[in-house]
Amino acid sequence: MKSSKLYKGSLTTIILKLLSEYDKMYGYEITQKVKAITAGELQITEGALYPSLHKLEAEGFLEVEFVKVSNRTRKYYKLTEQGAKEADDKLEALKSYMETMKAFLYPKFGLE
Amino acid sequence: MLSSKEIEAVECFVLANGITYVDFKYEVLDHILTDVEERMVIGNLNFDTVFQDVQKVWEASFASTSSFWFGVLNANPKIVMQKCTKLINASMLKALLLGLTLFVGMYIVSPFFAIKSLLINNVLEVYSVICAISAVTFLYHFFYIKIKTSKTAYSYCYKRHFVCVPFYNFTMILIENAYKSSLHVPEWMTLLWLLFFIAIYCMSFAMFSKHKTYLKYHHLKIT
Repeated sequence: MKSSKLYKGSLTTIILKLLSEYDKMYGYEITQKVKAITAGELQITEGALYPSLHKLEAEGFLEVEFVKVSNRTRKYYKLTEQGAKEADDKLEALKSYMETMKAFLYPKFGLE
Repeated sequence: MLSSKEIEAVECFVLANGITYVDFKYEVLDHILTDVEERMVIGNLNFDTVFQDVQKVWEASFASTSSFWFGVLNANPKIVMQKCTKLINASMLKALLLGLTLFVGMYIVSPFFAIKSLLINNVLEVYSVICAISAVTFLYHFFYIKIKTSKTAYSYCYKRHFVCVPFYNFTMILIENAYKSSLHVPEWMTLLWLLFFIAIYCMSFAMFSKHKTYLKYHHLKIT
């Protein structure tokens, strides 16, 4: 990831947001989708992606499905009901954070 | 689509880099194979050229890394070690919280006062019982992990971290026996240590259960 310190805390939110839009996704697909959406600005490293996906799975936010594709096994991730709720909560928190930062970076000076 | 020989070359690369844990192996293999296939199609390149580039991408994730929790001599690929470290950190935090909750509970919740007295008055016997139970369960867990050829990050954490539980307890029995009369250890400290051991034992059990569930659950899920 570029500017990794700033993006680091948002990785789970990014994963949850993507999975809330696309029914099910696999690891490589997630990295490519993020790269495409952000025009290459944000690149999730494999070393960070899989431990995060496994953590979300262990917490019950994601469920998995193994599918035989060509001559190999592919692991798909899907949001659980609890995961969908978590995605909403995380996005709300992120929006609120962005609003606060926006207000801080571009303060509106009134007549008060 | 890649030939079986090319797939075999990628699989050898993955295994040679220590990705032998089933919770990573199939996923990483599929990731690399998909990446290679896409690069070959987009760039109209041959397998060898693309595979060399992809290997460079994975260099950082496969770099041999050690951790404080697992000892400097026990290195593993970074991608695996990151998960193991997170698992152990969470497990130790839970053990600490469980131990402290039980400890505080025994001092402030009256129904537990009797249990507290029972534990403190029979500390040696309690250690012996935990030591015996944990030794038996450890043997079962150890052989279960050995027999099943599939390894997971959970089994790695268990083998590297929790196998010592019966030995911890045995050491405590020796210490209690040797210094009982000469050392005046406050009863709260004896109780706190004991409860931490019980909590760590519970966490070791949970770690093994995760390994067992992972193997069972994931084999059933293949469609």
